[in-house]
Amino acid sequence: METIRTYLDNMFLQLPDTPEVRRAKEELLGMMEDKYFELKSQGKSENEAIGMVIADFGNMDEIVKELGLQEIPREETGGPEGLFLSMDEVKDYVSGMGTCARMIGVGVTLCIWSPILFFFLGGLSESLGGRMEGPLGFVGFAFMLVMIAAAVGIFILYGTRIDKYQYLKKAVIHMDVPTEVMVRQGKEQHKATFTMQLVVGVALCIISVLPLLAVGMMFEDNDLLGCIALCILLFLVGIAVFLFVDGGVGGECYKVLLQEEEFAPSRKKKSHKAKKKAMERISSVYWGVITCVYLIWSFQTMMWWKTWLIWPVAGVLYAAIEGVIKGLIGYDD
Amino acid sequence: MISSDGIRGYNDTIILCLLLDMPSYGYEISRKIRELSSGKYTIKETTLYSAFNRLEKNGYVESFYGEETNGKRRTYYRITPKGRRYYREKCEEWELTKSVVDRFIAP
Repeated sequence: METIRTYLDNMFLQLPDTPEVRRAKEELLGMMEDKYFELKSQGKSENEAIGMVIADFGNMDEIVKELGLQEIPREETGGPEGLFLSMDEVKDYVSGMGTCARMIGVGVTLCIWSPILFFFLGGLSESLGGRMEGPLGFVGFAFMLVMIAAAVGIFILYGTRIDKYQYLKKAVIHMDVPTEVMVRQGKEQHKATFTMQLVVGVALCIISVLPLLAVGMMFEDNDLLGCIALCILLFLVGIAVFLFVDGGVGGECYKVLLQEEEFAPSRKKKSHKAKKKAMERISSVYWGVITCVYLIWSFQTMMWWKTWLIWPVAGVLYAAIEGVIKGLIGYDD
Repeated sequence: MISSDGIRGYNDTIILCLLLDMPSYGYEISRKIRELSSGKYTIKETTLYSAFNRLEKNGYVESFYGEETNGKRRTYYRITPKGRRYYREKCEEWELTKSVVDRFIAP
């Protein structure tokens, strides 16, 4: 219901505040509300109902003409901080963000996959009695560096592409009705896909530890099998993380376009943003430090099967830190 | 589904027709239009409100607030005698329009 109210607010943003206009808005809201509640009572989902109500809203030009207000050219409907997006611009943004999400997912997956060959060849040289340790180690390490370099390249390339769209997050966005309907439908589709991605990803994560467990229980002293099991774990986790990143990053554009959750106009206040920025900075430092600790610890001890524990611990700790900081600076999402 | 262009001149007539028997409010009228047209015509909210505004300005309907059971205040519209006369005129006009247009419609 809030979405409908916001939608209507946006539609009326540029109209003068006269009793006539206020009444028109009130009446339209009443009709939309009635329709919304009826659709809901028929068992339609929140998004379906909103989509249908907005699809049947009609054209503001009719109201503008009827109330004898001069028509406002489209370019100006944005107002000082508002932004009118055409259907093509919206399509470009959604598909651009989709590509970026996929590529960043690929980058993260490459990072996770990067030590696979290193471990495998390490296990292999171990099973060969330590022979070839130097050359195999070099090949594995070189492979890892190449993968990481590729990933960094991707991050820089697509990170700047995402930055190009940053201004949309700050703007108050307006769209015409068909575009908005298209975005809502896209969001619904994305939601369905994302749910599947989450299910598959979580399943992969759970399955990924099975080989390691099996080897640990049955072939405890076989290093090669142990390494292969570790490689399988990384491989599966890599795929899972790709699914999470692709779905998570790809879905943000709908929230931005529909101005939902953290992108709602009321939340685009400066003080709030500054606080959010602080949290973002803390988070990037935090995860950077954790990654360093993980790598240093792992390479020094070479106990990769133990050091991964740092991740779940770090995750839980992060939530705690975030909670404390939010409490301290009064930032609330 | 029919185009809103084709039916534009008769939205007012349709609304007046639905008010002939008893006063009604925005969404109820919109729902009746959809039902009576078997889903072939859904009137847009902006079209409906523009029509109400126009009809009221011309004195064909008058609006009043009615209390609903759930406490929500709704604007009801009641047809005036002037509105009834206008409705009759529009009906005759439609018969004429139909008979003329029909002559150009290949079966």
